[in-house]
Amino acid sequence: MTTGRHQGSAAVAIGPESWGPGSRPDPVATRKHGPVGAQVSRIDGPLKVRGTARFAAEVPMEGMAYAALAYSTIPKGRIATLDTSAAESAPGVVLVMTHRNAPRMNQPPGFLTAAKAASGDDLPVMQDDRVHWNGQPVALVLAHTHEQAQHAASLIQATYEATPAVTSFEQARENGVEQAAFAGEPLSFQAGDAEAALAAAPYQVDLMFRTPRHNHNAMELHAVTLAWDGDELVVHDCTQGVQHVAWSLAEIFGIREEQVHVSAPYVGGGFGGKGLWQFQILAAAAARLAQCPVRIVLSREGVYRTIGGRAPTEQRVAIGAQADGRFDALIHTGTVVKTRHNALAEPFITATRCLYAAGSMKLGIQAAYLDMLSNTFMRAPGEAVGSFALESAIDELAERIGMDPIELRIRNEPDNDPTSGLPFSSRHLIEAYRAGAERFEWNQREPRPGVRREGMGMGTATAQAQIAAERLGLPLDQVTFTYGESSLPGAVLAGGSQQTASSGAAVVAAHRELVAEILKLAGDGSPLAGLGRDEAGAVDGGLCDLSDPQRWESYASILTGAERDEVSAEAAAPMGARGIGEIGITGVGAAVANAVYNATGTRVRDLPITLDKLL
Amino acid sequence: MIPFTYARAADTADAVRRGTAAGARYLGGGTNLVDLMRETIERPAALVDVSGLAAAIAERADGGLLIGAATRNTAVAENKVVRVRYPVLARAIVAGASPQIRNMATVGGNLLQRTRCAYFYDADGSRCNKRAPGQGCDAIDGFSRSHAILGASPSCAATHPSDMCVALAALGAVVHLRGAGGDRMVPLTDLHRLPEDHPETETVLEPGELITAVELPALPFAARSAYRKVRDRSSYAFALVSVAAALETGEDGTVREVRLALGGVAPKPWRAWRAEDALRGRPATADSFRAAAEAELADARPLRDNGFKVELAKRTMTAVLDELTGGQA
Repeated sequence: MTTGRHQGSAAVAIGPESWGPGSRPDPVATRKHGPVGAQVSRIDGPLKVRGTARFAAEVPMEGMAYAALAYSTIPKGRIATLDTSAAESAPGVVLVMTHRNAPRMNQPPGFLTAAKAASGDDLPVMQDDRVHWNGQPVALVLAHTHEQAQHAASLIQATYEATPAVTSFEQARENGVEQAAFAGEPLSFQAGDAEAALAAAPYQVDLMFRTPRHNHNAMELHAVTLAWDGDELVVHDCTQGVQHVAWSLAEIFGIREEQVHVSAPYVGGGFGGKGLWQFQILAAAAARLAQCPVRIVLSREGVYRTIGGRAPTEQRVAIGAQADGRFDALIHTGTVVKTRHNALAEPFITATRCLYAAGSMKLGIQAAYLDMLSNTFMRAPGEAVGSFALESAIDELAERIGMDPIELRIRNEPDNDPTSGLPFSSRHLIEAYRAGAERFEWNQREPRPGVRREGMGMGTATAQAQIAAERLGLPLDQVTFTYGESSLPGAVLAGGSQQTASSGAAVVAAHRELVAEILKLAGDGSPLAGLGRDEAGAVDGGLCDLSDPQRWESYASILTGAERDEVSAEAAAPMGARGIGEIGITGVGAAVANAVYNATGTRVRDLPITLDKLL
Repeated sequence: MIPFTYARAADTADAVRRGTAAGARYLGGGTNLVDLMRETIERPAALVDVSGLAAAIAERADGGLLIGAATRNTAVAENKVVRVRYPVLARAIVAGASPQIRNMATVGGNLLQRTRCAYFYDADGSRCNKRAPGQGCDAIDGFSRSHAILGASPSCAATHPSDMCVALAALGAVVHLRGAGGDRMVPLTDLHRLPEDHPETETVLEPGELITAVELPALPFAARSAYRKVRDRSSYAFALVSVAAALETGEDGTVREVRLALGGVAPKPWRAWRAEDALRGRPATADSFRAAAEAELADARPLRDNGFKVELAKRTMTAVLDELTGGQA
């Protein structure tokens, strides 16, 4: 699973012992010229481009009916009345399923409670009239078309007997908190008397941070197409854990694991949100009841109502330090909200466990309970929001001490894992800080906030067009530079000049690749024949031999000769191979918040950073 | 899946004849109406497609423009005369939506698009006086970050979502209408109603009345005009505050003529009459701009979550006027 190393590790051993620290390197991994690292086309690329890669919502099944859901509109209570008559008589309707006629099913095995437990919560699915969250499915409609099902679901009329519900963080905390755990292990750690060390330290920060709920928003809406074949269940799913879903569905329907066949060759975005949720269970129940294959595709609203996301957090980070930056005390504690029906407390101290050495340490998470859709994994669970608090606090401490924030981090680099004492299998953090600092021109950073004024926007496009034009030997007006808005926040990391430098490096690298491609196209009769890419230069809309600029041919002539009308190349700043999905979200919140502070002088410790907080 | 009929109007007379039938709605690009039908918030019995009617942009002898109501937003934004004489309009349209939406959306439809208040859209879970008159409003005491600070009432604080209309309000556009009773013209600033006790009635249009064109009066100083939209994301987001402005300064550095309108702050495109009055004849300086903005926002009545819009609107007005004076103020 994308975020699911925890879940994945429950089903599969993590790896051979030879992957541990001190072991001999894998000879295949160190080989330089194998297929790994080579430029290859995505094997499933042509299928996806042609639309022939079949996603869960596209697998055809004979005699299939389409399902749609009706959702509760109260957070807690009982269904008082449920009028399905209009839905039952709507065009095309095959079945209306409610708690009154749903087949009996076992309680779903909640995620993290067993090796292959996949369900977002362990609540009974449509087995009684109780409502546990606003958005819980109260009815499912099967019809001949998706639209008929949606329409009929909209005709279901429910009334409720509401009971008091806890729906706010503050309310939940007032009701009491409990020690939170992760996979059975309490989320806490203590070494020494951190509070006393904090109080005694010459430099201190003691800060509160808040992060909001995050919804899963994968591009592919959650969907499943499934059918019963006797007591065998065939499931075309979009899940990140096929074995987990198979085992869990078997538990729910009281059959053997081998009787459930789950396939999910293509997942249009998972990020921890594509496990087992009610839609798959309800679709299988309806298929059994109606005795036909069933497809369900959640609407985006349906995703928000029935697929959990990341829970809100409230975090305290306190650090006591000496004038040389050394941490005497590192405290990272706080509260997360969850439900009584799921096992995951957002483990925001996971990064803090291994990032810094400190003379004393106190880490701990308490859980408070809400009547809400159960929360779940989301990309970099724990680290994404925990690193926001931790790394923001470290920047605030650096300012208080008057020390460069990178230097402060380097001074607290641990030799071994600071909480377990074990050696690191792989750690290149200092190298990464130094390399990053160099590329961002960190040493030219102005530490005083609100001083640096230059912006980005059109300046970026112009600067990059200038670089490209010069490299290509073209006039500026023949160069178009486009850049995605989503790439802009990266530039905030180190102030105004970083984007130009980093994008510029990519432009330069891409140009080098492009020259090589163009030289390949130049025929034997070309004045450029035989030149290597570093021997050729660009001038006057073409390439020349750098040592003899008279040997020149225009781009147009080269392309015409090769019967091509375009040539392309791409490049990025070279990096080692790492899973970057989670790295891309860990620490970024703090980096942006720190950059916003540097730019504006305003500290935002309460995410999201919206413009009203900077007025 | 709620049944409705669909007909393409052959001409304006045909459209009005069909459009006056009970439950009929005019369909332009469908970028808002079709969404609302999918959500079952709009449930028309009949759609009269007017997207094939007048879509020309005609120059008038006095230097103004007449824009057919079926003209696509893209065509207006790309029109050279618009870009040279009314840059504020081109910029507002480009800020208003993605190219795909702009390619479909019509000028007439843009004027009549409905609020994006989340409570208006939440038919199953929220009360809304606009959607169900008299039901009550869950936004007023709810999550009100995007809501109105000017012109709202206790029954509704939804904002008008259009960017284009803010520019049209500043430019003094006139809306041409055709109804069963004949033709009439209404200034754009009078087209939309404030909610008062009837937020469900959003315009002064009579039942079946059709927008046929939008007229831009000649306004030479609008060649120096600007639109600034402040929002949570730089794309794919509605305005928290937007400002359309045109400014003419005299050789003595005073404001000779000014047009100002605000978006994102009111239930209708908000012409800033007070600020304009406060500026005419005053020195074109940051102090004057700020004072004018203060005057316009004097009656602002923020809700729980949108108090920041008051200061944001003032700063944005000041910044746009500053930009129009070449940043010298």
